[in-house]
Amino acid sequence: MTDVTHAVTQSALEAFTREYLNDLGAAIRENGSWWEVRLPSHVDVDFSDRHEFEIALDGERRDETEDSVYVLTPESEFTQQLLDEAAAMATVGQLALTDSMTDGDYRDPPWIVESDVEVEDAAFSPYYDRTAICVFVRIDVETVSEYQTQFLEAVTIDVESKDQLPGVTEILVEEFFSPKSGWRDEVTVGSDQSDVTDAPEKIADAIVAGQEAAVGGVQEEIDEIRQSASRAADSEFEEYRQLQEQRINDHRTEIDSLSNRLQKLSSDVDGADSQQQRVEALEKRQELKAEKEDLEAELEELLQEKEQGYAQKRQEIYRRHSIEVNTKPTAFTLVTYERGEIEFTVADNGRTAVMRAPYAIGAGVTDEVHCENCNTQLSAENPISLVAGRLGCQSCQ
Amino acid sequence: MEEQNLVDIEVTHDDPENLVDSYSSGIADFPFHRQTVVANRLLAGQPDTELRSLSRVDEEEVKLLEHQVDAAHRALFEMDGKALLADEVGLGKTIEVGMILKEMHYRETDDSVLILTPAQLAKQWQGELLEKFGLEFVCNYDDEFQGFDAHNYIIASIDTAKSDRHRATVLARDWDVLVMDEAHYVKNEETDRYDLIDELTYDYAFFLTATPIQNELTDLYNIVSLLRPGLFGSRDTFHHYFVDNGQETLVNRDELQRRLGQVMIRNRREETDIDFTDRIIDTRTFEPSAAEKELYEAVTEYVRSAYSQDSGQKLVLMLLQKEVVSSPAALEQTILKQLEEQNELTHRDELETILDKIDAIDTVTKQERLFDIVEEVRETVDMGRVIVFTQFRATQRQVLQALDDRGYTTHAFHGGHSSQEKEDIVDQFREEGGVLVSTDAMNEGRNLQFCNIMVNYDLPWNPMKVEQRIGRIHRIGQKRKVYVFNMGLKGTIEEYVLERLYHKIDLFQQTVGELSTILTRLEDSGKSFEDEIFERLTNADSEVELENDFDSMAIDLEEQQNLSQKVEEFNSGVFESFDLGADDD
Repeated sequence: MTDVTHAVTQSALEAFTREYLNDLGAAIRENGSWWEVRLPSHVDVDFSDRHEFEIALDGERRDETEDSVYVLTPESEFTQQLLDEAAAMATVGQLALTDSMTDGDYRDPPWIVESDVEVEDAAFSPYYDRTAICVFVRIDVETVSEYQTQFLEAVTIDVESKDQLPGVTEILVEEFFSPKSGWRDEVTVGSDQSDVTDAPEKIADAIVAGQEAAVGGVQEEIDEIRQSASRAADSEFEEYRQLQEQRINDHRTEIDSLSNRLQKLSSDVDGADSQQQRVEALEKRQELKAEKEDLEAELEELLQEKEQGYAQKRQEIYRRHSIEVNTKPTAFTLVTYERGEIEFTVADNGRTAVMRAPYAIGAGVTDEVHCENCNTQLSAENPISLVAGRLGCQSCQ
Repeated sequence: MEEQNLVDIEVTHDDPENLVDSYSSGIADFPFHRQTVVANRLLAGQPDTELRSLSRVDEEEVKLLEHQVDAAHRALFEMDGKALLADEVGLGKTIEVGMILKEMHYRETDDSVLILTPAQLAKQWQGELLEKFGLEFVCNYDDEFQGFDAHNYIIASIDTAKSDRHRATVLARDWDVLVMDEAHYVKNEETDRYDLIDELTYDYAFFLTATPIQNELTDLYNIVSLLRPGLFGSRDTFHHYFVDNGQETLVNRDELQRRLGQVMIRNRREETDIDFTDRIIDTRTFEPSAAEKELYEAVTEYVRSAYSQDSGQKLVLMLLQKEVVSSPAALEQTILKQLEEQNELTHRDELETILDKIDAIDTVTKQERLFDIVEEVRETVDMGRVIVFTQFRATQRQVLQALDDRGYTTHAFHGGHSSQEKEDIVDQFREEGGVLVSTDAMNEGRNLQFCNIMVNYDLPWNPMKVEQRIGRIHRIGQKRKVYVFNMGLKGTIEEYVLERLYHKIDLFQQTVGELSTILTRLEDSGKSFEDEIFERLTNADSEVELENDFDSMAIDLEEQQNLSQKVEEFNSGVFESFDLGADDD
């Protein structure tokens, strides 16, 4: 998965809007920070009920604006409407990754990268097409103590095997956000219902696999948010604990003082001059006793809570500070990519040899490859080697 | 933190139903699909991380430095608008806040802003924000100040804000932005100041200090906890984890750095491209003429006796004492005004005697000696440009007249000019050269780096004002050495202030930041510099006593200076090896 979150800068916004309006067939006349826009009559959009309008790129000039003038700045209402509409417009697209698209720029496997040999040539022979989806997943992370954090992750999943294809994601992300000229013509065609060949259930499963993988992509950020939310919870709990300690102390002091007063009242009862005084002292003693009993009961409760480490409160606080992570697939691209075999011509010290491996465009070498000589699995730790023109690996040569 | 002490995480996945439905009904053309993906990316992104108001800052008024722009940017966008700006002294924290406030103003997220500063810096803040950023604030010392519920943009001394009279109204509001200058004022959680900030309601906050730690590491905890409660966990956790109890030193620095990096920005001088040229100080004291001496003694005697009878007249008496060493013309004007007022307490006879003594002065020594300086400058510096500062308009007029009579090119600058006139005067001075005679109305924003020589014709008793004068020419962009001439009359208060106070604390080599730290400390101990000088002058019974008094004041100042240096060194030590800068790459 690849983090494709991007800051919403004024320039990025302008570039997007320019291209979006052009794709809708609009004519734009740019005049500094004013654009005059004319949409074709057959185009209906939600962000404007007019076909001719102006766009101001400068929020400071909003006072001058009229109904037919929209303000395009990162926080403006118009921007939000425009983005909302565009974001929902064409959520499913397709693209075919072919050998010609990557200009023969093949991905060397780690067992070559880490070796001493050099790749002199590589040739790919496609055998069949596979389908994957590159799904764009929005991840919202929310806690009570921090602002909501958003990420957008791109993940490519093979529809059949559910394997992740990070190499394909890289190529696609590049194409989406910094398109090369030239190969867009090949990918412009959409298709109708009849061309939809993969079962929707399979697609749904792949999307869900992509959502799960996307969370892994922001795990580090989530861990960090978790740490900081936990500290906030800890701090709140500590405050509560100190408050309870204070209450315990206060209760004890109050109970002591009531005991003293009760003792004094007992001697008042004994030494009362009149019946009335005696009754009054008894009544008072009764009242204070009840008060003391209440306090003792409360203190008991507080002490019990303390003994349990305020577990209930702690749980309550921690639960309130818990983190909610939500993923939402926002769009996906159906990617057909060629699988076949690649032939690397490798060289070392003027001697060359040929090595074959299963390969997929964008994904690189797809399966495990073993040493021709000793059959040990090749890897970054066990790269190939070429000794006296004979291919082997680090283990056997 | 151990796993059992962490809060739970609940992950939910939205059903992909809608997407699957879209798929089932057909696939869009790629260009539109691409726009959809890009739109989703923009929707998920942070709103924006550009300082959009930057282009609106007038470069004539303020030259923004990279570390300042970076700090403003990080405070706003990486720290969610709650930051501790802890640059080392003299790197322009006020400018950073100015940019932040300008940006917030541009984005209309600043409906109400409260800036709390030490008392003596409030007006300076007001001036700088207006001149450099076009932001208008009312200050609690302004006549138009009607209380904390009557204005939306307020600069106030923190002690005014926490006073019984205002506290309730300050706390009753929900402020959008709180700025707290010299944030170490709130280092102690058991003070009224801390309580005030703790109870204030605000969405964004920017705290400034060069020395977050004044005495102990708890200071840092207290300040940061006001900004980001919970960042360090509880007080006990902080102590347990970051402080070595035996040594009172920091442990787990990396973790502290990581967490502080979320809220604190500290630029160090050595990392910035600020490079000031040298300052050459030439203090010249002159023997007053017999008539001048007589006048000085008469005025000093009068001030002493009048003050002992009626301390309510303090301000006017202080004025007389300052004017007598500035020029006879300045003094004469105030004396005449006093006489006109017909106050019962007016000592007519004494004042008239003073007038006679003014009349007896033929030549004004300082004026004559000023010619020497101006002549030296004319011979050595391109276009003979020199700025002469005085506190008084009457002195200014007299000096200008004398220079005109001698045929020098002169320019006058004072508070009575309109902004356009002021600009024209500075332009003419640049083009024609000669002598610019200015009162202290010469404000911060004026760019006078084209001149590198200035004369303190008289000396304000407030060291900040002296530094502000020097700061007009000794600022970023000055390429040449700066020469500061101080003029004083021997045996007068001027000599005491110059020799015993200003030179003792090496005032003429201090930057505004360093000075404000010292003066803030002084003010914090309840003393006003001007009052101290005046009290000493009027209370001393003999010259020896006066000398001793000034020496003790100097010691006091030195002590504050040493203390603030120590605190700074301590902070540098603690934050040494702390790379708190952003590292996005």
